[in-house]
Amino acid sequence: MDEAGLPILAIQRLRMTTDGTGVTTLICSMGCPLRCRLCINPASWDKTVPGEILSVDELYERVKIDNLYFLTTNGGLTFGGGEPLLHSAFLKSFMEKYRETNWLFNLESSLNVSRKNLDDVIPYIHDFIIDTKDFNEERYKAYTGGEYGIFFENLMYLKEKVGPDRILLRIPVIPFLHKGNEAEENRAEFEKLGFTRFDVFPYVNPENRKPISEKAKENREILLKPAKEELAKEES
Amino acid sequence: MKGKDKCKALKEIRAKIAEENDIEYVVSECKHKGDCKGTCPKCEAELIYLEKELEKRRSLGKRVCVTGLAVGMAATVAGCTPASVIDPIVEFFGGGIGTEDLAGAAQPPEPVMGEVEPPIETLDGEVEYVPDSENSSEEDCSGEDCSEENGSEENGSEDPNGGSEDGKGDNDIPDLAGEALPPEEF
Repeated sequence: MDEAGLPILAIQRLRMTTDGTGVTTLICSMGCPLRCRLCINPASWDKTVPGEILSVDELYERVKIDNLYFLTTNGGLTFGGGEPLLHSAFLKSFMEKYRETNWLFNLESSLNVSRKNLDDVIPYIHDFIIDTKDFNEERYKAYTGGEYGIFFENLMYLKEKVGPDRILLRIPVIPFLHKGNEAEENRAEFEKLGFTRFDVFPYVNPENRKPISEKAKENREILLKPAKEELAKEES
Repeated sequence: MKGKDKCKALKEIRAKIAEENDIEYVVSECKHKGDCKGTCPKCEAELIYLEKELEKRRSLGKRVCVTGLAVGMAATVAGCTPASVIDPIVEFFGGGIGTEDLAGAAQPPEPVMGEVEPPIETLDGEVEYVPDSENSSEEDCSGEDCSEENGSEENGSEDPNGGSEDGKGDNDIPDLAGEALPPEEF
């Protein structure tokens, strides 16, 4: 069943070198099943922003201005969030209706959703940008509050369906969570499973870039508080 | 990528589209001081002008070349960041705030993948792009002088709008402001 509208946190145009090849427009949708302690877009779930609901055609009207940039640079739309796959029925409707634009559609997802939601979009997505968080189950759960098994099984399923060439695994270096080379070890583990494209990068403190809500700060403290206490003990 | 750099890259893409499709287009220098989002009403007007000119060419059966024309002009996804040379704790507390330019003015932080960027002031208003000698060139292109260029789908015609039966070829600038709706529970 089609979703009536997509709740939008933001639409950001003319992005280069950030969300896929060429010139892209990032469409951030509302809602997320995870509560990553250093979430870069906490407004997608902390209820500080009402969001705006767009129909399939309304979304197209918002993004069509960059048609020439998309076509000339092999760019297009990147669906992010929040977790865009919470709205997979809408995304499917949009991409089905506008696939003839020849824009490339990318997805940035944690894959922490039901298998059906993933199946909805697989035929339409050019590049899957997957936020892995952590290969280690215990750390994954501590950092995201989500179920590791859902993510991991969907990731392996996706690899079987589309092959590793269309999957970019984002491997974050998470302050206060990763010790030593744990992020690089995560990468090595994924490599053993047959993945070939990686982006290892450090997480940033969202508060250094924009105001964040008290709710987002509380969520962040779940990660920072024990680490800070441990640091204080070591110093004393 | 800063707004000004983005503006320059997009301007080059527009110039390339015009050149490859024999469209009259004069690149003008941006007079805006300070940073921007990489576009402004004047840039948008130029983009819309190109869309309209391409549509004219299509309707005349002329060759239109768009797809993949400027692939090298926009960088691809940044490769792996060498995590080993970055101290994540230092980065966490000290990084990402943005940098200062040579004049000491604060610059917005570079966006990271998937991040909703902090707001940046941009220009408002509407501008229409009109080339200096638009009338004469239109006369030339709609007459028999251009018949030798008349192409067809076999000549590589591309339709970036994928057909126009549902109005997708419309070239109006969409309203980017939008209207907020009541909060939703997630």
